[in-house]
Amino acid sequence: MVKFEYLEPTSLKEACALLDQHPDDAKIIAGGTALIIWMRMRLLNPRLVISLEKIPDFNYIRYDDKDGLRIGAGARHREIELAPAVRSHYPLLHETFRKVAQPRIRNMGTVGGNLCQGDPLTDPGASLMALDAEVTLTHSKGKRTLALEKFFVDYYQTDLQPGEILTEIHLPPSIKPLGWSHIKFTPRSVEDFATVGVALTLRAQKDTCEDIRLALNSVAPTILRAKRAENVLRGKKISDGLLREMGETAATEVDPMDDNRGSAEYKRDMVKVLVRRAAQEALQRISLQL
Amino acid sequence: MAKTETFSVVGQRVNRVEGYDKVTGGAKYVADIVLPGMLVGRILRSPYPHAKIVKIDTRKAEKLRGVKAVVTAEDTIKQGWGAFFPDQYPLSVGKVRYVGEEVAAVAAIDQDIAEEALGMIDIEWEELPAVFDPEQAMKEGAPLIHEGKERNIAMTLDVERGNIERAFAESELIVEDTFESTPQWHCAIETIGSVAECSPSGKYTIYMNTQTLFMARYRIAAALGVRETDVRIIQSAVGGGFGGKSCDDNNAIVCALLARKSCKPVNIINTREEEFLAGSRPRVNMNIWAKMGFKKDGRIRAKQLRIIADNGAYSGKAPAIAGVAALRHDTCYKYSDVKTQAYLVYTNKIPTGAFRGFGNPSAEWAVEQIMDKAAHNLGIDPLDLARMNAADPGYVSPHGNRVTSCELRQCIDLVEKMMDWKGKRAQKKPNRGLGLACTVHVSGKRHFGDYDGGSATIKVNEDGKALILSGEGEVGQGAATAMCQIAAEELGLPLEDVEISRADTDMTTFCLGAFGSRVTYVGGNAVKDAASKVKQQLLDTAAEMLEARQEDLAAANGKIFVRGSETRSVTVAQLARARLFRRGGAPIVASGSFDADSVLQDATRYGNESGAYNFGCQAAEVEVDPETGQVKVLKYVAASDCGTVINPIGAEGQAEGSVAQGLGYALIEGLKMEDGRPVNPNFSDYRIPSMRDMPPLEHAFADSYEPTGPFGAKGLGELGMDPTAAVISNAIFDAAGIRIKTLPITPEKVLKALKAVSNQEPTRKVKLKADG
Repeated sequence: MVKFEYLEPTSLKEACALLDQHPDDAKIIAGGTALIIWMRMRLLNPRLVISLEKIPDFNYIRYDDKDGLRIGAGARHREIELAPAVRSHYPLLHETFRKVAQPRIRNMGTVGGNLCQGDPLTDPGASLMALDAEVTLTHSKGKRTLALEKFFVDYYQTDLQPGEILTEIHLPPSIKPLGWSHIKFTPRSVEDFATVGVALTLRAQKDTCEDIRLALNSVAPTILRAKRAENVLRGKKISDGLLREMGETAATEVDPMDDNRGSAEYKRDMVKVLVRRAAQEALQRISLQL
Repeated sequence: MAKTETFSVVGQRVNRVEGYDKVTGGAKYVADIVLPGMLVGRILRSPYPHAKIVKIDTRKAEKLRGVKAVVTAEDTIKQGWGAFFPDQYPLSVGKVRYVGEEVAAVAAIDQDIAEEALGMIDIEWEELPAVFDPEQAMKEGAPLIHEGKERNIAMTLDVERGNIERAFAESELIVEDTFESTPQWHCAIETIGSVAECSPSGKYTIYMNTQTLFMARYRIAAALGVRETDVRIIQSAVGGGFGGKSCDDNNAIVCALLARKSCKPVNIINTREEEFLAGSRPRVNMNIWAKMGFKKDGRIRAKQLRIIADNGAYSGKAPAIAGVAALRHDTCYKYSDVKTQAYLVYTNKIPTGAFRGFGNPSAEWAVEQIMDKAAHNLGIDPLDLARMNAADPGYVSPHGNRVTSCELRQCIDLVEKMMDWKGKRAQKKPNRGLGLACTVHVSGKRHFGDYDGGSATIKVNEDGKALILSGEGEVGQGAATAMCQIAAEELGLPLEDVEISRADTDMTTFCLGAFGSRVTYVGGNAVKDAASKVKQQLLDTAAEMLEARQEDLAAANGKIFVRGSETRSVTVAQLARARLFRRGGAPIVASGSFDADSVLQDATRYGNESGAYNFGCQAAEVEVDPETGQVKVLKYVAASDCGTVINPIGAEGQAEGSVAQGLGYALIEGLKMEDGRPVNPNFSDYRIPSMRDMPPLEHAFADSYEPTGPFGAKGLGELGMDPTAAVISNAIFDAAGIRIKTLPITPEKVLKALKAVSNQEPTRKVKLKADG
């Protein structure tokens, strides 16, 4: 690892100012579970590393029935996994964060760091998207909010602009009853990245799908919403055939790569199967058996 | 058959003797060893799979501030070295043969400077055509990797016993198929590393995490061109070996070269990427064509193998590994007529080497699937087929292996019971299936200058504690604890009164080291011999002190006492002091040795290779997801015959760890190469099973006693990983009617095979017939 300077600002303002002063050679570090690996591999060689560790109240997890859930970007995977509000109002998130890597990583890595890395293989983004998350991006002159699905731009690329820090993740209030499912398909090892990741939420009245969100990870340059697949089901009378069709449509929206977890073709096939299974599980959760 | 013998320390569930230091972080692994003034060494590795080195210019690197030494082949004697063939060099001479090969090295005051200096070494390369596939490499006109090795063949083996043609003619069922294994890495938690210093008079002291100290000394001295006594190897704590730390790599030699040139201590600790690239030598990958003939009742009549083994760029231990793959399994079942041919072929890839199982897992992956196919074709329960053919005590294999103790049938019985085999078979559920395989392994092997032995020294200190001086080494496998238990049992001491030294070539007598499942059996026998000699000295002195006849004396609980009147006793501490602190006094100390009753294989590879053979049987129940191809192991059972179990906690760990490594081999592992470059040399891309991936595992030890072993013990460490891949494949066949013939068995391969079956075969029955 190339030598670097390490700074620990004690306020967000100070952190933003530092980023402004060093537009080209500074990197933000939170848990470090991704950045350190890249630095060790010399893929990134920042001269300055700015830690967010000392910024007060940067890892809050607050729930309000009207406002929904607000998560400080510095919250660690493990903190989100175990937060009572998350468990009771967003079981999909609890389930997802429970599956991130293993406890050693979950105790270090932060949700903000995870999203900013823009790694399509990781789990949290898809579930957050399926829950309509938006992110707050703060810079020295103010802040903006953005739907999470617009935040991911390309392979390891996000919409984060120079000088910006991701500071908060917001989810609208939880809807009940909400059918949900999270499938992390890891045939090599439960500690592996997903070969295919599926996060799905849906609401149904009798046997008609009122609304649905389907997000996928590990199958395209970014974590993505499979909107055409959603539309197959949205507003329709749910049937086995329609679930299959949704899976097949989702498979046309992805753009997987050959890698150690499988060929692109195999991953596409698995999208078909797992999207259908995710929908079936979500329906079971709201007691809709087909 | 078990011998009724009661032990006081042997067979007890005891904690590791070195465990407290390890779990409290006190154990000194090689990266914890810091000597005053120590430099950091880094290695410049070949970026090409096959290339000539036209010119190396190190002048810029040498001038960098903080660099204390730069070495290339010019600093070596340019003599080849290697376990069997002297075909590799500490630093490339003239050309490189794989990506990762050591070309030059730097010692500097810190890692950053050392790495910066590596980038300043100018090398002019001339790329050569490379060959990566052994079958291609064997073709006329393929690029030649080593001068004089025509068609890149490093070694061939061709053995026939009996009359194979007649045996096949007399067979009533013939099954044949081709299987391909996978290049598997040891993935020990600690990478290979060394700390070396060189005294002004030219004596090297090397701290290293090797599992074979004296063999390391032999090879390092040869590579450096010095005498063995000029090299002292001290073993650090070792974070796992599995064969990968048996000194076939160049880490320690390069470290010693840098220490000599810089006149300072130097360390080189492999990064994980280096460990994959050129550290622990991975399992020899094999393509195996196997053909077996059976009588209608299931008896094996004939067996023929043709093995193409991928040696990689240099040979290391691969010649012996190919031999094991070719011959070893013929000790598991009763064979009469066998033929086996093996070709060990050079390719421009990382050299291969020793890995738990040593050729056996690749061979059993093939042969045990042929057995399973035969069972299905004959309509015999695979368990009954194994039982019918299982080796017995007294069996002599076609290659001369003489079986002493053997409880293979008992292992099969145990597996049947633990798995509820018959019950589950009677109530088969869709997509679920059962598979099993049997295995054999050695307890040491005679192939080092007609030697299959070990030695140890025990001294009794003035406080009555015994210290074992042994050069076998502890690599995390539990050898130190087993040896302390054996010595304590023989001496009548409580375990806490026995210690074992660290392995050090200057302080201990010659030992071959930790490989070939030999340490408990061979090393343990040497310790037992030393202990019995020490005990004689204790009895001599006790007889004088107690004024009793020696034959009336016994040892227990740290005392020697007169049988029948146990109050007439003297402690071992009193004896040690009494024998020493007197006119003409002497310490209590003795050396013991053992050489197994094995036979060096002759030119035709005939000869009883080991003093004792260990056996095992394993079975799995799996569920195949028909839509994803994912294989879930629902339950795994294993039974091992390792004779007397010295420390059940350690033995269970060995057995369970073996299965974990075997499941990795079966289902997920393998380094992928593109044009000779590894594409997944890290733990994110190369996965091994984690604790949470393990299925429910039940294990049992057969009731067994090896008459030539220390208190009846024989080897265990490798046995459990040998049959696992075949077990899984056989279970998948039972579950889904498909047979995967290349490792690892990925869900993608399974799904493809399932689709092929559903497109082709209307019913499973047809598939079975076509199989024959």
